[in-house]
Amino acid sequence: MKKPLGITLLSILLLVAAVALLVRTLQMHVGGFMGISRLVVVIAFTIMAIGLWMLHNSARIFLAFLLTADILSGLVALGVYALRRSNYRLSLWLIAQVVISGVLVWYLQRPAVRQAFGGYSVWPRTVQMLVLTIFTVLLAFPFYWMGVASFKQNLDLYATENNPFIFNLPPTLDHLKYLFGQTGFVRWLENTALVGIIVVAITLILAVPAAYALARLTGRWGERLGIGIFLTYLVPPTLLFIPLSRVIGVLGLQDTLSSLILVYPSITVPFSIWLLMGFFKSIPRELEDAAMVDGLTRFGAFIKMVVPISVSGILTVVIFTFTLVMQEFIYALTFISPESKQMVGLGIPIFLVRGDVYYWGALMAACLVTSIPIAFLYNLFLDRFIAGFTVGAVKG
Amino acid sequence: MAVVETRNLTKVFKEGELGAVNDVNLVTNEGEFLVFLGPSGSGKTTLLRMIAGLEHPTAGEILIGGRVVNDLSPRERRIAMVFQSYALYPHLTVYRNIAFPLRAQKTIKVPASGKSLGFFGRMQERRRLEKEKVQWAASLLGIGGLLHRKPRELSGGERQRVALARAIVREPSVFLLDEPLSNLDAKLRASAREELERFHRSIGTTSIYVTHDQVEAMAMGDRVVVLNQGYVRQIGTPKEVYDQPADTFVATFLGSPPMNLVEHDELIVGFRPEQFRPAAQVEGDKVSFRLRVENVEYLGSEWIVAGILTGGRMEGKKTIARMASAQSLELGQTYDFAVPERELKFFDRSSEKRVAARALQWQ
Repeated sequence: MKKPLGITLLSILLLVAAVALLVRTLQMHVGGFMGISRLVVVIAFTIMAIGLWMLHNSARIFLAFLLTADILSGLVALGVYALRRSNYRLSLWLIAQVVISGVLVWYLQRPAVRQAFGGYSVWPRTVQMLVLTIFTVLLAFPFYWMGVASFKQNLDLYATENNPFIFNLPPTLDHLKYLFGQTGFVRWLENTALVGIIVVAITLILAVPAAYALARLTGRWGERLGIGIFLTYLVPPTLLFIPLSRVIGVLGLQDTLSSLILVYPSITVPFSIWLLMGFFKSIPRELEDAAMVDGLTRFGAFIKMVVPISVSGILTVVIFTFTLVMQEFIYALTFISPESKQMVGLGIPIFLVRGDVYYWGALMAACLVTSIPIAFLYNLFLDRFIAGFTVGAVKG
Repeated sequence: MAVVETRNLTKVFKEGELGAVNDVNLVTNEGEFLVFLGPSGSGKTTLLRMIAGLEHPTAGEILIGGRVVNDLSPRERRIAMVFQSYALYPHLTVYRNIAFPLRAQKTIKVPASGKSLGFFGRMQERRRLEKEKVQWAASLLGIGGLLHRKPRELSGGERQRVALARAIVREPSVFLLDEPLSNLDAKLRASAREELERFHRSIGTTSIYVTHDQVEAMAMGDRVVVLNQGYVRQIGTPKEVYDQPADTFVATFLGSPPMNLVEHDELIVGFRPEQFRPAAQVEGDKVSFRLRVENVEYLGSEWIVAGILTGGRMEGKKTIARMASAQSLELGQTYDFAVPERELKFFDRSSEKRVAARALQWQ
C-alpha cells in the first residue's frame, strides 16, 4: 500500500512537535504536575507519529478524536469566553485552531487516506470516544473537585486569581485533621452506619416475605394491594414529617436514633416490596413447583430457590435503603437536635457551615469520605444493580 | 397393585364455573407409559398437577401405591416430575441440579458400619454416595461431561436430559412428564421423543405423560387417555382410540387430517380419510359417493384431496381423502369415491357417542 504524502508529513510534524515540547520542558525545568502532564503529551505524540507512519488505523482514529475534541472545545471557548469578553486576539487564535483541526480531520477522512488505512471511516469510533470522554469528565468532575478542595490550603482555595483546578500551593491534611479531630464526624458516621444497618435489616425482614406473598399467593388482589402499598411511597416526607414528629413526640423518641429507625422503613419498605414483587414475578412458577416435587416445602423452596435467584433484587434493596438512610434530610433534621446524635447527611451541613462561613475544605473532605464507600459498593455490584432496576422492564 | 389411581377426581377453580377436571377415574398399570392427550384447556395438566400434589383436588381421591395421598405434600409422594420448561435451577450447576432432590429429601443415608466415622467422615461418605448416584443418573442419559456447567450453557436437548436425570436420581415410584417436548424445535423433538421412549424402556418406571400432540401420544403411549373440557372421553391403546373412537370428539381429535363426519338421519357416520378412495380401488361391500375435487395437496409420500360430496342425500358436505397417488385427479371434476362398509363408524347424533354398526340407506 502506498503511503499518502500528507500522512508522512503529519507523522514527521507530530514527532517534531513532541521533540520540541520535550526540549522546552527540560530547558525550562518545568516540574511537578505540569512536567508530568507535558511528558504524557510527548509520549502520546511520539506513539501517534509512529502509528501513523506504520499506517495503524487506531493512530488515525486517535488523532481524529483529539482534533475533533479540539474543534469542539475551541468552539465552546470561542462562544462562551473569547467573543463575550471581546478578546479578539484569542478569538482569532481559536478560529485558526478550529480551521486547521477541521482541515486535518477532513484530510484524514479523504478516500485515499482512508484506503491506505484499510478503508474504515473515522467517525463511528471517534464519536464513541468523544461521548465516552464527555461523560467520564462530566461524572468524574465532582469527585475530582472534592478531592482537590479537600487537600488545598485555605490560601490557595480562596485566592481568586489562582487556577481552581490544580494545586497552586502544596497540598495539606489540615481539613481532614479538623474534620476528624474537631467535629463529631466519626460519631455521625457511626450513627449513620448503625441506623443504616438496622433499617436494612428491618426492610429485608418485612419486604422480602411481603413481596413474595403479594407476587405469588394472593392472586389478583395481590397486585392491587401491591400498587396500593407503592402509592404510600409517593406521599412526600415533606408532608409526613409534621404528623410523624407528633407521633415521635408521643412515643418519647425525640433526639434518639430510634425515631429514625422507626420512620425510615415507612419509605423503604413500600418501595422495596414493589421492586421485589417484579423480581419474584419474573421467576417461573415451575421452578418452585419443581423444588417442591424434589422435596422442599413451600417455605424451603422460597429460601433455597427464590431468594438465591433474586439476589440482584435483594442487593438493590440493600443499596437503595442504605443510600436513602445516608441522604435523608427532613426526618433527620426535625427529629434530632444534639450534635452527638446527628446523621452524617445532616451533621456536615449543620456543623461545617457556621452562619455564612463555609468550611469548604472540611465540607469537601467529609463528602469525599462519605461517598467513597458508597461508590465502592455501587461499582462492586454494578451489573446486578442494573439488573435489579430493569427487571420486568425488559423481558429476557 | 396400581401405582397411581384416581377416584372421581374433580377440580373446580372458581365456584359455579365448569370444572377444569371432572369426575376422572383412572388406574395405571405397573410400568406402563400412560399419555394424557387433549387440546389446551382440556384439564390434562391440572390432572397431572393434582397427582403431583401441586393442586388440591376439589373432590375425589388420589391413590399412589394404594395409599390415599390427597393430603400429602408433593415431597411426600415419592414422585418425580419433568416440567414443560424443564425448570432447571438456574443458579446451580448440572451436578447440583441432579443432586438437588437427594439433598432436599436427605435420601442418602450412610449405612451403619462397625467403625465410627465421626461427623466429617460421615459427611464425606455422604458426598461420595451422592456423587456415585449423580454419576449413575448422568451416565444413563449421557450427560456425564456436562456436570460442571450451568443450565443456561446447555442446548434444549441437553436440558431435557438434565431434567430427566434429576427425575430418576432418587428412583421414584412414578414419573410425571408435562409436555416435555413442546419447547424443542421440530427436528430435535423427534430424536428427543425416541430418546424418551428408550429411556422409559430401560428403567421401566410407571410414567404419566401429558401432551397435546397426537403424534407423541400415538407413538409413545402404552395407553392414551383422551381428555376434553375436563372429562375423560376415552381410555385405550393408541390402536383402540384411533380405530374405535368412543365419540365424535376422539374421532376428530386423533388423525391428521381428522375423520370425515357426515350426518345421516339420527346418526353421524364417520370414516378415515385413508379409507376414502376412488371407487375402483375399493373391494367388497362399499358405500359410494360422488366427490367434486376442490383442492389437492402433494405431501411427498401422500396426497391430500379435499372435495365436496355431490348428489344424493350428502350434497354439499366437505370431505377429505388421503391417498398414495392423486395425479390423475383434476380440480373441479367429479369422481366416484367409496368407503368399505366395515370402515364406517356410527355415532349417535344427540349424544355424539359411538353406536353399533348398522346398514343404512345411502341413495
